[in-house]
Amino acid sequence: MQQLLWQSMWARRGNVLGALIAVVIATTIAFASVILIRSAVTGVRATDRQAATTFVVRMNPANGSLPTEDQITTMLAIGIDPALAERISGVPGVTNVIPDVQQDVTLLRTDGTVIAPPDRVRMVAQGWGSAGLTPFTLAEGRAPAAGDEIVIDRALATQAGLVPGDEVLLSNGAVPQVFRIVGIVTPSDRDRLEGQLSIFLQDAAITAFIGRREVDSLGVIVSPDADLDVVRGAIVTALGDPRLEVLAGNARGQVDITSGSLELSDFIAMLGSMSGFSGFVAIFVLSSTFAFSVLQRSREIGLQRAIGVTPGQVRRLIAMEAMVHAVLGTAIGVLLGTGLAQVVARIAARVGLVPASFRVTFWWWAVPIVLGSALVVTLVAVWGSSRRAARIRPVDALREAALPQRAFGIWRILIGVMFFAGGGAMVVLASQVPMEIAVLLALGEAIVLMIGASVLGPIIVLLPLLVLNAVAGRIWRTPGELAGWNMRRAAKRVASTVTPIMLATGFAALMFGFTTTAERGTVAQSRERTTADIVVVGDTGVPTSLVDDLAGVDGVAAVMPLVSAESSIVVDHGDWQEAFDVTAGGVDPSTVADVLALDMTSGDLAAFTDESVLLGSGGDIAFGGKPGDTVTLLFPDGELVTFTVAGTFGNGLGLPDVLLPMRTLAAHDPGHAVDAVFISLADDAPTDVAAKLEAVAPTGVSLHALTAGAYVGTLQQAIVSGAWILYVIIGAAVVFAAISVVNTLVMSIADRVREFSLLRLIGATGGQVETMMLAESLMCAMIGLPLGLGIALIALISVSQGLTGSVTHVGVPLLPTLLVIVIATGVTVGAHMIPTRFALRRDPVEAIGLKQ
Amino acid sequence: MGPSGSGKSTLMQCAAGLDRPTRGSVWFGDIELSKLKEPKLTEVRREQIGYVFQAFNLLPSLNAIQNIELPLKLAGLPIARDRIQRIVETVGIADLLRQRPAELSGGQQQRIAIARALAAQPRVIFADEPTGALDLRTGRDILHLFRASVDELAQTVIMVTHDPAAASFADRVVFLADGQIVDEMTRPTAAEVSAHMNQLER
Repeated sequence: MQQLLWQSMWARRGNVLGALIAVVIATTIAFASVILIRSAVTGVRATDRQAATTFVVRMNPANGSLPTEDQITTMLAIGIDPALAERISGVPGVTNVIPDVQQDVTLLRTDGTVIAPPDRVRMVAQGWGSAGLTPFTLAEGRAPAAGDEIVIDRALATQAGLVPGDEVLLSNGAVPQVFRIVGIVTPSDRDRLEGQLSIFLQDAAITAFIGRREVDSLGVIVSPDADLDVVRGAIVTALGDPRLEVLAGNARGQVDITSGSLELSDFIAMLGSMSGFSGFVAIFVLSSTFAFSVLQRSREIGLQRAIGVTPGQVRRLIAMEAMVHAVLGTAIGVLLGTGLAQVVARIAARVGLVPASFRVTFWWWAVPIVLGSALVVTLVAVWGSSRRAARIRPVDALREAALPQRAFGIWRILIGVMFFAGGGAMVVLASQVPMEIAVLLALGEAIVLMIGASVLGPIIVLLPLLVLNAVAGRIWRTPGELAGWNMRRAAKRVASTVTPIMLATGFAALMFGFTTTAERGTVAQSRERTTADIVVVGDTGVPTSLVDDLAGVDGVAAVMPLVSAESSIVVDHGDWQEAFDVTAGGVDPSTVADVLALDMTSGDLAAFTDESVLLGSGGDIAFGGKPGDTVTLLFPDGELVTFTVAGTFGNGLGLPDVLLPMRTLAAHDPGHAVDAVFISLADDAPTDVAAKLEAVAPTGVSLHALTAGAYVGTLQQAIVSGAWILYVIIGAAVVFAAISVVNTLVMSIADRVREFSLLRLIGATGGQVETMMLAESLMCAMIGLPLGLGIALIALISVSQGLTGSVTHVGVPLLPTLLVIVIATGVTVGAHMIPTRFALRRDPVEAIGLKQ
Repeated sequence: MGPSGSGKSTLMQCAAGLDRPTRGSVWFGDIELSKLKEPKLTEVRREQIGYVFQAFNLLPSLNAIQNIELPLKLAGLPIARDRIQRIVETVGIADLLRQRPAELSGGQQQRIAIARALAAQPRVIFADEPTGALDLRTGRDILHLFRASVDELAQTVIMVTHDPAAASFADRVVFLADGQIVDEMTRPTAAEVSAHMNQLER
């Protein structure tokens, strides 16, 4: 049996290689995804910033209870009261407790020019105490002793040409303050830490600078001869709050992940969608590749049956071959996947999704996981076709007549119809549900419809083929007619070529279209909503203290600042609590109506006071907030504040989810600059009011007074820049689909050599055969592209409906979509024509078996 | 006509323009076939030469009439419906025209192949072991068909075979052995051919 297997595989080594390539690609992506996700989930390697510490203490609400003793899971980063340090410092074995807080700042020279850090490196301000975490050692000068003194690291000093005695400006969104450099430090023999340039203020000064008391974490240094487990236990007891996590080892580095999230949630989300999506495409591709390769071997199987191989043995042979593919493919995929994971990690660090110190760790369990999945997918893929293949009668192999095509099973039709019906139901459902769910449904619709299309593939292609057959005959005459006839008889083969084209263009169009549709919706709503005459923005935000100065400019009637922050809405369900992480916008309730035309879907703008909030579109359903209800917000200082719901607004794309009074936000989450100041002008405002507004800025701050239209334009750019993740995902899928198309075609054309030879013998020139194949390839593209685009469009309609309540914002970006279409067509044509060229090289007489 | 390995297939393939001789030349009427290159060679072949092979003659995705008309369409020649009709009736497949090869027997497929070869009105039809895969009676019918096309449609047929009974249908039988033409007979009977073959093989 073994020998039969190896011989059979060697005889078809071209086909086997093709199927193997498909498996390798799938396993590579799968393996890379698994180890990347695990590396991200199990935490980053400790940055060397906390190298000197033994433990790091931070707040993690998921661990413990807020006042009502229930679990709350939120990604909001909540600060620690630095007074807790005293509780720990008394624990035996603890030599030092260092409260640690960091803030991203902008560094400027006294003339106002910005000193920018290198690409992907942060400029960070901390208290002098934090220098002991690494530790940093003084190389020149002394520690800061006054509130306006700072110490910088060697790399920053070298880059900016700064020496002790120089004066600089530091800004964290407020008006820049003057500091004098008094010393230069280095972290253990280097010029700077990986990923950041460090600036140290006096400990008392950093609290005032940042504007809040809470710190990010407490670094705990323990004496070397202490029993770590005992000390840890004592610390936990001394803290007495289960929300406070005591991190050790590699986990300590988690506190350095930026932007208020506790884990690498963005990165994991990206990986999750990339691998889920690739997995989906992989299953498709592998299923059709294997099913197809079994179909192609009908003649060979017939011969095997003729020489005495039983049906059971035929099935076993096919299964064994599938397993060989899975095992070999996994082995290669593990190697390549490790490399791919490194590349992805590097890119992610470059764009800031992960800290610069993120390392991919190899995980042995990933190997059996990937191997198991590969085995399952390949065996399932061959199962159906192997059963049919085993039933081939030996005599079929001896006949030269083409083997009869198996009739399309009734089950397959039913399953396909079911998927289509499901997709249709989802479309209807999507118009009824709130925004976030509608968007998820849209993706589900696309998947379900594509599964349906590929299950019913051979039937679906028949109708277009009828039309295209006539067209091809018109354009290319006899070769075109031949192409059409061939394809109509080989519907299964056509379907397995069309499916990857549909998948690639469909998903690409959906992903691209999602951002375009969201963008259009956001722009449309922002434009309609912004009734302000002028919107003032700053390069690094507008310092809060300038808002009153702006209001004082001659001609200004009303001023409304918008501060964006993060918060969490906590919903009490009685015996459990749920947290929804939201974006929160601090505004001035008294002037909102003057500058923004909010579409109030419930409640009243007049009820929006200092004790209430406005909820965005999903609000009333997701949080259960109707006008008059109360809603509780969690802030980064750990406080829960209750507000009344004044109302909900509908046209909120581009605005935060929740609007609350700015004063309250500033009380609990200080230190944010103002995103934008909306200004409405008096009727008699002077013509140079814009210039006057911009002139309000002191040195080191630059303001821009934009028209409403120009402001909406800046929002557009912000959406687009987040789209790069999608391009990575789409690129991976398109590559995979392209390879699958090439695979299928190389295998199928190799099988048609006899057919080509016969054509040539009865009078077709090589050129006519090539024209026929060109016609076939274009017809495949003409079926696959509209299918994919059509399904994407249906899903996008749901997206538009869900985001904005209307379908008119559906759109796809012209250039990227065109590019995908061109690439898909090009690959299809190339994958047809190149193997055809090779097939035509063979002597037709020999190929058809006439020569002895 | 000749035993296996005598070179009869190779000779026919060279004569039919399917293969190129290493030395010497092949003349088809006044055209030097051996000097022609593609696509001219294909054009000459499809307009002037017809083929019937032992097996795998027909394109499986086309039905009978599409197979028959295909060489004409590839050549861009007009399709004379009444002539095709006459051929189809002579060959006896008038009621099979819309069926595909997979639905037909070996004998029926060969008939369609012959009809295709006749449809282009070639100067010569080359047949390579046309009855090799058929049972005795069907094979006999096919041979009668070839004979009829010669007698009634003024067709020239050159057939390669090792079956003496098939050879007996011919006007002229050329014998090959070991790559050389060794003998020729006119209108032999099957028995005469058989005896001659035995002699050659000794």
